[in-house]
Parts: sequence; C-alpha cells; structure tokens
Amino acid sequence: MYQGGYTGRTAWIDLTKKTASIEPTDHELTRLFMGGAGFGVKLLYDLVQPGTDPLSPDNVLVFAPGPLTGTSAPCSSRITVTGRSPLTGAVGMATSGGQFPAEMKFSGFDIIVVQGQATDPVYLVIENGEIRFRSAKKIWGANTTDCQLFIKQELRNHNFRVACIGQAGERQSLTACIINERRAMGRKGLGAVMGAKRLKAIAVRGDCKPAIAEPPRFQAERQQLLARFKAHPALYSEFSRYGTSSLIDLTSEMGIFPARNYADTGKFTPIEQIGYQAQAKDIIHNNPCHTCPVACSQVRIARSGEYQGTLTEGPEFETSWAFGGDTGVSHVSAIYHADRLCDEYGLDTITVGATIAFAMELFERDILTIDETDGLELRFGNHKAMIEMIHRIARRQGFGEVLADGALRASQQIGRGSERYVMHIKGLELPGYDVRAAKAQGLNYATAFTGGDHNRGYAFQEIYGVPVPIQVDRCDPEGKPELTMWNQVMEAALCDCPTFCSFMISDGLLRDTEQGMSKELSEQRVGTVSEMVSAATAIEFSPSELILLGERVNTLARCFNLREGFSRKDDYLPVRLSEEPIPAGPSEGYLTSREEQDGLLDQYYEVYGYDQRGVPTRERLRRLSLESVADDLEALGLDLE
Amino acid sequence: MKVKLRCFGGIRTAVGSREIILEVPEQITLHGLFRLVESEYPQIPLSVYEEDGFRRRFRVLINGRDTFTLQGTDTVLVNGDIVAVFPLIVGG
Ligand code: SF4
Repeated sequence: MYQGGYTGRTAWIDLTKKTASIEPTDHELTRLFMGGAGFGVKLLYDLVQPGTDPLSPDNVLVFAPGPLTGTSAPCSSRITVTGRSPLTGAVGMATSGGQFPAEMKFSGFDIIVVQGQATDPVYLVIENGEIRFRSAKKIWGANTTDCQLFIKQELRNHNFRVACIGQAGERQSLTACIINERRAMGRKGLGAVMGAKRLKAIAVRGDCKPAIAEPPRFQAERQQLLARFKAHPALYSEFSRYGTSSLIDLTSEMGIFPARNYADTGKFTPIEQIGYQAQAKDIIHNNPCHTCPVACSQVRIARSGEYQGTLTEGPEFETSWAFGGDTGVSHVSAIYHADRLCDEYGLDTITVGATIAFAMELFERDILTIDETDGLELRFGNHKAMIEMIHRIARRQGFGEVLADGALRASQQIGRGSERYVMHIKGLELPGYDVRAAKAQGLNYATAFTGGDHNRGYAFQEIYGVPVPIQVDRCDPEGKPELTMWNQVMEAALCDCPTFCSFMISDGLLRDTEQGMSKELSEQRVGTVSEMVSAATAIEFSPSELILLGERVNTLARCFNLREGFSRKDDYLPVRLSEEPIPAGPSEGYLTSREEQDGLLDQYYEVYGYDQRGVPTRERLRRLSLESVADDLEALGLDLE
Repeated sequence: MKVKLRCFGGIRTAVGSREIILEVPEQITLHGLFRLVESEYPQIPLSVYEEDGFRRRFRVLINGRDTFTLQGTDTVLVNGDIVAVFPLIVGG
C-alpha cells in the first residue's frame, strides 16, 4: 500500500490483443528504481530480449513520471519515455515536461507500459483509472496540434492532455519524436516506435491527485526550495524572461557554439541575428510546466518576412543551434518556422537539424550533387532549402527519404567518404556544444547510455560556470571522469527518477548565491530531494541511497547496451573532434585526441567500478543489487572480473 | 589601448548596447577595468563580482575563458581583449 507520491497502479497495454490490465506498482521496483528513468531502464531491461527489432511488436514504450510528479513540488511535471531506440539500438530514453506528466498521474497511473502492435491505428484514453482503446483511423496522417485538438473534441473534454505522433512517426522516420502539447519527448526515434505500434496518441485525464504521506515535512522542504529559487539572482530576472536562448550568446562567447556541422566553430557566431536579444522581441507569452513558478518556456511569433505569423513554443537553445549554427542559418524566423514544422510533423529538432547540416556539408564538398538533392541548393545558410528539407524528411519524399533515418544511416547509403562528416555517438547526432573545449560535456556525450546526448549528465560546471561540486576549467581534462560520473549519477538521482526539471537542479537546487559551494553543501542538496521524495512517499530514500540509485540506473542502462553488443569502441567522439582542432574563436586550437579520450575512458570506467572494456565487475553489480545482470552478461559470453 | 566590454542579459538592457569599446591604460588589470567601468557606467555593478571562486551575480569571461583559469581579477589585459559579463545563466 502506497501512502503518497505513487498512485499504486501500473497500466499494461497489449496493442496486439487490444487488452489493458491494471497491476499494482511493484514495491521492489519503487524501492530500487524510484520512478521515471529508473522505471524505464529496469522495465526495458526485463521486457526486451537481446536483439529485439526496435520497430517490432516486441519493443516496449514505458511512460513513467516520478513520485513527485503531480504533487506541489516545483518543477516536477516531468516524464521519461523509454524503449529500445531504433536510431541507435541502445537505450532510447526521452524526457519531457508540460502538463501531460502530471495529468498522467492524475489519470491514476505511475507507469504505462505499451507492448505489441495494433492492426489498425488506435489511441488510448486513460481516465481516472480506466483505460479505453479508440480508433485513430480518422486522425492517422494528422499533424500533432490538430491531432491533440481532434482528440479533445472527440472526447468532448478539453481537459485531456495528449501525447501523440505526427506524420514522421507514422512513417517510422527514425528522426521522429513524440509530442505532448508543444513539447517533445525527443531524440532516439521513439516516435517511430509509436508509429510502428500504430499508436497515434495517449490521452490522459483525471482527478487522482497523488497524496503526500507526510505533509508538514514535505511542505517545509518545498518552502525552502522555493525560497532558494527566489534568492537566486538570475532565475526569475533572466531565465524566466529569456529561457534557454541566452545560451546562444554564452556558448558563442566561449567559442563552443558549433558551426556548420562542427567544421566552422568560432567562424560563424550569429549572436546578433539569432541570440537572445534577437529572440526577446518576439516573445508573446510564457508557458510553464505544471507547478513551475519559473516558466522558462516561451512562445514566440515571427512578426514579419516570409515566415510572418509562425508561432512556436521555443525555440529552445538546442533547436536554435540545430537550425541556426549547425546549418549556418542566421535567419531567426526561419528557425521559428523550422521548430514549429518539426513539432507539427513530430520530428526531433536536434536530429533533423544535425542531419540537414551533415547533408549541407556533403553538398558543399561536392560529395552530393544537385541531382541527388532533387534540385535543392543544400548549402550552409540556405534557410529555404533547410525548410524544404524538413517537409521532405517528414514525408520521406525524394532526398528526404535518404535523410529520414538520421545522419549515420544517410551516410551508409551515400558512401563516398561521407562517414567522416557524421557527427554522432552510437548513432545519435550530437547536440550544440563543441566539446573539444568542454571536456566533461564531451565525456558525457561519449559515455551517455543514450548516445550523443547532453541530457544524461550535463556538465553545467563547464557551461554555466556553476562551481558545484567543484570549479573546473572546461578546457582541462583533469578530474573530468569523476565529474562526469557525478553529473550522470545526479541527473538520474535528482532529476530523471523523482522527477525534477534539470534546469532547476543545476541552479535552483545546487547553485548557492550566499555561501559559495562546497562538496558538503552539494551533498546537503541531495538531502533536499531525499527529504521531498521520502516525505511524499513515506519510503525513506536517504541521500546515500539516492546516489546508489543514480549509479544503478546508469549501470543497468550500460548493461542493456552491452547486451546489445555495444562496447568501449562505441564510447568515442567522432573523428573530426579528435583530429581537427576548433578552427577559430576563443576556443581555437582545442581538440580531444584519441589518446586523451583513452585516458579519460580508462579513468571513467575505473571510477564507475567497470573494467577497461567498460564492463561492470561482478562485485560492482552486486553492490548495486544487480547480481542477476552479471549472470545475464556472462551467459552472453562476457566474462566479468 | 582598447578593450571590448560585452554585456549580456539584463546587464545589456541596462547599458543599452552589447559592446562598448573602452580606451584603457596599458597594463590595466581586470580589477582596474571594473573600477573604470563603474565610474563611467554605474549601472553595471561589477564590484559585486568576487574572485574567490564563487561568482555572486555575474560570470566574467576574458576572451571566452573563466577568469579563475587566468589570474582572476589580477589578470592583466592586453590590447583587443574581450571582457564579457553575463548574468548567471541557467538552462540548456
Ligand atoms: S524551468 Fe522550464 S522546463 Fe523546467 S519545469 Fe519550469 S517551465 Fe518546465
């Protein structure tokens, strides 16, 4: 019996049989994996057999918010969706905020596990503990905003919150994501998994607000956290006003805003055209996630020119980079338009922008001809060609068919030496930080269990200069293996499992403006999350257990990848970053040589308790209560130390 | 000699422009620059910037590098240096 935080119910959906069963949320699962990413990784590991085709009925999609989601904890409306990624073959995990995560809890469930494959398009209606299937035939082919609207109208209730796919997911494009409101459960192609299952959408609504087991204890922590937000000198005055757009300016000034497929970092820095100031004039309102007082998410409108009238939620920094710096475009309204198109088609903005940037480099180098691009002058900076390519990718039309499954697969099709220009790790296109001069951010890209992903252990010490738990020189590899592990463990333990917005963790929770920061203080802050989750659930998650949880989630995810054949060789940066120095700007000359990466990986594996192949030792797995995983790995022929 | 002062976020709004080119004496340190700026641009309260490894309200970069990786506020500036002043930035 759960006293709070959890609803106590897990929904098991079998699309093949069109059946739904409701089971109690497993107590062992909550104790060891807490929620969110923990639930996702554990269920993925248990339910998906090695070698499963990610687009087959045997893959799963696990929708899991955390025990704090749906409570009054600030910034807690987050969800993770997990399945085997068709883009990478590794763990596919996407996170999102908005209203959907909290509403899913209100609908009565801690977890929705989707298995099988429907014969005809369907959508799920989940309301106050009940689950219904409805035909989605009429809306198969609809864009995401219209799909959400249609479902609310069909259900005659506008309080439903809907997560759905667009045309890209239906066509099983590996660049497809899942959209809730105008937020994306992005990257790793999970929209294609939903499309392959012929699941158009999940609509949730309800009144099952999770209880708080110990209200005074919970409220005391909550008030303290809110007071810390208030005391922060920039959270409301800057972040609420400009959102993540100011990172364009910051990373440009640092010389780590990657330009033109990472070939021209430092040479192209369009701050004035697309930076925060250029975007600020177009903000029309803020659209906060449920229970978030900060409201970093802004809606912008293109006020003039050929994209006049385009309204978009965002673009977030990564999107501005993907459709700005990476593609060499300095037209801010084109970026808004690209963002909105991707939301409507259900495309991931980073993967799509990076894939187009890759193709642009091939075009510039005459590896691709204008015949192959169906007459499109796919040059850096050509925003019209970029916008047209988005349409064609979503429709798998012409050259869009080649790009519709991401940059790595496109290069495999194109050949002719194009592989060198794919900026990816494990098949996932890199986001917008040139990690040749941000070493912990780079090691995180290399080792993140989802592939080249900034979200699994963001090095905010290097990017925002937050001196927690230590102050670091971003260009110096010294100490970065320990720091990367710390970031990955904290991301899982403090953000992705409970769940909390990671923006708030790095600043609202960890940065202290009065006392400076020490390792001790950062550990105290782990205590804040520990207190909130324990008070909400009456299950004691001590600070040391939280750290173990973070290690467990990262290690089990790594074991899933090992089981799928990933190994140390997949933990390296693309060759450009190890052989070509940053060509200009404040970070000119930096690269991350193969030798440097070898040294970093050796130490990284050591601090995690893995051997030099990146395989956890049996003892390590035992201490993380993952003993049976050791047997699984040995059965696959991996001898454990 | 000349150095460029770049301001971002609310600081830019207060100053009214992104970049100010300042004529400064040779051998000026970052600390010296702060004093000079404060006398001419009192709306940029740089004195609250502390060099104890903990940055209270601003992040200051010299040519893209955090000042603690140089000589802190004792860093001697040279002609053409770019000093960027950011509010504490969140998000990513
Ligand atoms: S800070 Fe932004 S992303 Fe995070 S919870 Fe608030 S509105 Fe959502």
